[in-house]
Amino acid sequence: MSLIQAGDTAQLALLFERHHLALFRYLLHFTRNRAVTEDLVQDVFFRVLKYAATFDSAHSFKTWLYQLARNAHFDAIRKRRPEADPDLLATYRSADPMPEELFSRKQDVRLLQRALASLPEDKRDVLLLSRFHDMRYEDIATLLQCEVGAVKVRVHRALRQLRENFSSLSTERKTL
Amino acid sequence: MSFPDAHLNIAPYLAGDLSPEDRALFEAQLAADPNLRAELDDLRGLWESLGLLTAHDEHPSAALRARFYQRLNSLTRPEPTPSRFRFPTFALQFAGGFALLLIGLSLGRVAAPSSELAQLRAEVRGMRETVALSLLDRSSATARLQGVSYGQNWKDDSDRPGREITTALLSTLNHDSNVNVRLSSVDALQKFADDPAIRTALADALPIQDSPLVQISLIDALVQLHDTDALTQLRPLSLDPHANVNVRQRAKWALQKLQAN
Repeated sequence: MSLIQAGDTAQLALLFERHHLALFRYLLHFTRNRAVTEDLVQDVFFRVLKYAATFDSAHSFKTWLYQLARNAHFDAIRKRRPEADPDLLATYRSADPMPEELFSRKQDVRLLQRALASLPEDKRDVLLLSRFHDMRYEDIATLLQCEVGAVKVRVHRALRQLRENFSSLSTERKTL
Repeated sequence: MSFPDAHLNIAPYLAGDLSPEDRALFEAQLAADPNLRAELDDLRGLWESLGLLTAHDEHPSAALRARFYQRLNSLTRPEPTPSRFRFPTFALQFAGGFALLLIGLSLGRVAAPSSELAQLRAEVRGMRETVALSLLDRSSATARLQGVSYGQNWKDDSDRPGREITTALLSTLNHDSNVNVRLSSVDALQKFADDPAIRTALADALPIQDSPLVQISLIDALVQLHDTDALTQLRPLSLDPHANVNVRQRAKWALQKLQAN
């Protein structure tokens, strides 16, 4: 980042190669749309150039990058018409099917995905950051501008709600 | 015995995010509190099941990387040296020629017989190929990137570049000194992948590349093309201790994808 801040924009390529895959997977959980996610990922990296001067090297680059990603995602949502706000369950149903043939418990995986998608965005966010993006609680706290204790509370509540949602969906499936 | 807020450490414990001191304390609390142990076991199952979700195995298309590098290259292209007299660049001169030829084509559509039209189209295609070959031979990486771009921008079979272009693109892939140019050539060559010889050449390029970025781009392309013949090259690459670890992992992923098809 120091090289980019000094004007060497070509170094953005190195950051792209290191981080674009994880960023793609993080944003995909929100958008549930590959094309939209690819556009967002590209947008995020060029925001790195645009806002390079605001990066403080005393803090984690990954945290800053994810903050840019969240802002890009929120900006994209605001640009959509109100009636187009995503119903995440509906988006999941219309999304490309997961390659579930790789897993023996196909239905449970699908239900778990639905249970995760139906969490409120703030709970899903902390869970994804902690579970899939190897982000430490301190960094999540910086990203969300709260205390580490608050992150612990949110993650725990997210897990418990996920468990409730999953149980509820499992029960619903059995009664059909 | 119970500990009021110990349950808040279940998730960081599962994530491995507790300091050694906090971890030791939490494990002591676990030993003393059966309810805490039960909750941990319950949430551990859920935590591990999250690992079965496939969204975190998703990969973007090769287009993401290509578009990123095209945009980055347009930003990092050096400014032309200011001069008192403005002369068109090499590419602008040919673009001007194309424009005149296209105007001729448009006018020709009204009056010219179809054979003359076909001849004009062939001339346009020939000019484009000449430009591409010339640019691919330039010392400037930016010019070579333009050459690759010219080589891949065609709309239909009547426009499709000939073997000279694909040969030049393969040579660029295997020998160009600039990684970004080689990456762009991977994307360009995918457009010709209906030709089995091109698919074979893409797979054959894998072991001779020294750039992990290009190797990963090739692997992604072969998966996108569902080229099961590439398994021959992917298997040794996935096991090669001298290969970049990310390349080995991507090769293993590609093997799974292609064998599942």
